[in-house]
This record gives sequence, C-alpha cells and structure tokens, in this order.
Amino acid sequence: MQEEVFGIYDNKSNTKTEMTPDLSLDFVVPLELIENWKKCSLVSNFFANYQSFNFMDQERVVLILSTVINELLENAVKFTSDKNKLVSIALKHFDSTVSVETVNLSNTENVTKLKDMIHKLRTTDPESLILEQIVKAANTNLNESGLGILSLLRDFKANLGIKIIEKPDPDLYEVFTKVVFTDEALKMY
Amino acid sequence: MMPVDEEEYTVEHPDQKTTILKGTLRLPSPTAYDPLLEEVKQGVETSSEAYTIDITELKFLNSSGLTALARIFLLARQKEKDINIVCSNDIPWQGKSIGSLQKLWTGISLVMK
Repeated sequence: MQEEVFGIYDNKSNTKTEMTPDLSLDFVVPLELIENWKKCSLVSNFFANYQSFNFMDQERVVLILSTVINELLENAVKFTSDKNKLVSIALKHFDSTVSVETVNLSNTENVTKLKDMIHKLRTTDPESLILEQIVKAANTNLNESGLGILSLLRDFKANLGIKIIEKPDPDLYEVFTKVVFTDEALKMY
Repeated sequence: MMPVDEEEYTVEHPDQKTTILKGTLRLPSPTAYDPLLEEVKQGVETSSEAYTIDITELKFLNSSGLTALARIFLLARQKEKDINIVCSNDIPWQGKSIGSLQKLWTGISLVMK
C-alpha cells in the first residue's frame, strides 16, 4: 500500500489508531440535508469546550480550538468519498500538548487535489498560496474555498500533518489530518 | 434594509455604509454566503465613503466565510473603494486571519477594538 506523508507525520507522529485518545467520536454527516452541516460546528464546539478545562482562559482557548477543529472536520466531511461513511475525530492532551486528528476515506479525485496542495506546500509558503487560492477562487467562482488547511498553517502557525494511505480497494484512500499545539502556544496565541 | 437574523448569527445594516456580523458563521461553501453579503456588495459598489464591516461580535467564521469576505475585498479593489473592517482583540482569529487578507487591497483598514 502506498503512503504519502506531510508535516508532523514525517516525524513518526502516531495516528489515531496508535494512541489512546482522551475523547473520540465516529460520526456520519450525510450532506443530502444541508442542516447536517451544522454537526461539524456542534462537534467542534463540544471538543473545544471539553479540552478548555485544562486552561485558565477557557473562553479564549475555545475560540481557538473550535476554529481549528471545525476546519479539520469540514475538510474531512467535504472530502470524504462516500457521504454516508464515518468521519472520525480524536483528541489527546499529553505532555503539555493538545493533539487533534481527523480520519476520513477519500477517492482519487480528492486525494489528487490534496497531494497537489502538499507538493506546493513543500516549495511555497502558506501565505503566498493562500492569496493565490483566494484570487483563483474569486476569478473562477469556485465553490470550494481550498483555504482550510492553508489558514491553519498561516493564521494559527499549526504543527500540522497529513498522511494518505492507499487502500486495497480501487479508488479508496484513508486520509489522516493532525494538528498539534503546545499548551503554551494556545495560551500565547 | 432588513436584518438577517438566523439562529446562530445576525447580519445588521444600521446604515447604508455599515454591516455588522455577529455570532457564528460556518456556512458550507463560499457561495452560501452570497445572500448574506449581497447588501454588503451593493454598499461597497455604491458608497461614496469607506464601507465598514464590523465583526467584533463574530465569534466564529470558517474558511468559506473568509473566502467570501476576500471576494468583497477584491470587489473593493476592482471598484477602488475603501473598506474598514472592525475586529475584536478578544477574538484571537480575527486580527490574524483578517489581517493577512489586508494584502489583497491597500484600501482595507483594519481597526482593532
């Protein structure tokens, strides 16, 4: 099985299946009903509030973590290959760091776009890519922002990793996306 | 001017050159923001003074929303109109995310409160 890694997974960072999370959830967001989209926000706020009890300034930490988790979840839901397949999220607080990871199944079309972005990120800074993406999205009236991962890197200076594993089934990939913040970074942000 | 008042957010237009966004805006795509921001687009195009977008009480905005705002900024650049965007120091993402969009057009002024 082929595997492509970017960012913190280069350092053998464990995936969800290799760590014991403090909190995890597997859920389905069938987008046939647009109301279901709100589940991303609901879950993000819950996970962020759950983790915020470790911090003095809970409100501020919720504002940061919920924003980050929501971007991860929206990406996982949008780029899942089957809208009735599970999306997973796991949160772990260990050794003064907060890790959040999403897992989704995806197809060749979506994975090609993701790999293209990863290859650009290896040679171009997120700042330049984000402005390029905004202008491209505006000029072509794209209905995807393409900014989720880029804004996490640029605006939140996130330690981020992406791992793409090709599955034995044709046109099927497992995509892991993980963000790690130190407690100190969350307090200082 | 009718304010849009949804469960998670409100969009208010107190005058012809001001829009106030409050609450949580996490719509599924950039174009999903079009109905909400139509009046802002018209305001930017027609206002003879700087148009003000106040987000000091906007707790959350997703990347689709950032893209929608960026499109307003690009419209302002195209029409050579000024925009004031009022952000809160208490909401950590605002200064960073909106601040970096300033690079799209020199007529964007970021006001931190």
